[in-house]
Amino acid sequence: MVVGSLLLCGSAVGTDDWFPLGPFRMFTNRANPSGRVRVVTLEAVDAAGRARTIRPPDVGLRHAELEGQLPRFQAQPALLEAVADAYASVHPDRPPLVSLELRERVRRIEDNVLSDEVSERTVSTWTVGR
Amino acid sequence: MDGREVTAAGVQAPRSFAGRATAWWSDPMPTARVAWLRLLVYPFVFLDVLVTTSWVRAHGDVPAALHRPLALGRLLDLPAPGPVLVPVLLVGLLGAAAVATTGRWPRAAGAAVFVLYLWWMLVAFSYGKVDHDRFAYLVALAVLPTVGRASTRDRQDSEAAGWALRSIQVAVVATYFLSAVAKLRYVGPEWVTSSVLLRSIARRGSAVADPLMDHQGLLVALQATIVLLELASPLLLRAGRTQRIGVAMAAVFHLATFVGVRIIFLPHLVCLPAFLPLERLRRRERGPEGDHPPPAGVPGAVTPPP
Repeated sequence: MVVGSLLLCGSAVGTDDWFPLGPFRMFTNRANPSGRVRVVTLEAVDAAGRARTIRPPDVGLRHAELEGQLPRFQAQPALLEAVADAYASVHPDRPPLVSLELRERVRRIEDNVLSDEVSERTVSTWTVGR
Repeated sequence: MDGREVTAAGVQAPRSFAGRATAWWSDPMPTARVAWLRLLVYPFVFLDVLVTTSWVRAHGDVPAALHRPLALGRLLDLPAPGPVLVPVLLVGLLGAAAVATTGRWPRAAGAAVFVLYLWWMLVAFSYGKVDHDRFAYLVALAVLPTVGRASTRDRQDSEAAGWALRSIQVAVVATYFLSAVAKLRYVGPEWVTSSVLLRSIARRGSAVADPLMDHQGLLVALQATIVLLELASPLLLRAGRTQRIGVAMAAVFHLATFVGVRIIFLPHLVCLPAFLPLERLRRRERGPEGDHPPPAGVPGAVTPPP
């Protein structure tokens, strides 16, 4: 009874923070007939001077987690240092990262048709020692 | 409590709504079904932790600065996951699941699995993204231990089994129904005509789903069907044919989602058999002419011809 009531409250006014009693928002992001589809990417340079595209699993995260914390990365670019640290933990055998750039690639949707046009912008950047 | 006793004696239905609800919720069901369900739910921990959501382990490598603890984690003041906590939790969870699978100490081992899996989920979802396919599974882990000993050979029904199985069934239905509610809350009725499936296929399509992108009308029809089925999900609680058709439709829906956009709600799917007459698996082994016919009134039970 208690669980049921909390679950109903969770669905009515709760957020994901209420897990496991939050709302079941599978596929509930706004999806207007016109708008943007966003894909986040991580570009890095390692200590050997090599440019690398970092996949989220390389830093112990999932794609949606990187996207979920996008506003934090935008507000505090220094947080990318933690991402570089995570990379070093996941790949202790590889040269560490010295700079990171979080980018988002955007494709437009017009009246439910996906456009071929792709635009990119930088969300935040970090360089070691700065 | 009065209501339940009256029903158990089969004298008359209780009067008050609360009494009837209590009686319905603990209407006896086969204990053997609980035993079968445990054989699905507990081994699934291994599949979940080691294969299908193995990314959770990687959170042990992520610095605490990126840890965004959920309300429950903050309430319990759980430490941030790290390179020690995560492997310890993993080994403890798998050990408890192994014991629970054997059926030994069903209450203690089952309770340990519930607590450790919930903790594991807080490790999983405290980094910026919460998944929504685990509610029924967590309910199953919470209620299965309450039944105590159960064997697939058991032939009797019990109120304890009924209460646990009903709780899982209600959790499954709540997941469907409340996900429709969430669509209405976050997007509104226009969810049905939105580009949600188009976007999903654009992001993670497949050879099967990609051609659908050119047929927006069809996608909208699919979206309308999804919401209607979710809103109709409480019908799953009606024993008999409605329930069997409903479970089959749910299975088809999940399979189609997987083929189309590679998303499958496995922990939720493991709970669907709570609606099925699993107890008949062993009876069938012995042939339909077994010495004890299945009790009447079991959802989906077929009474053998006289």
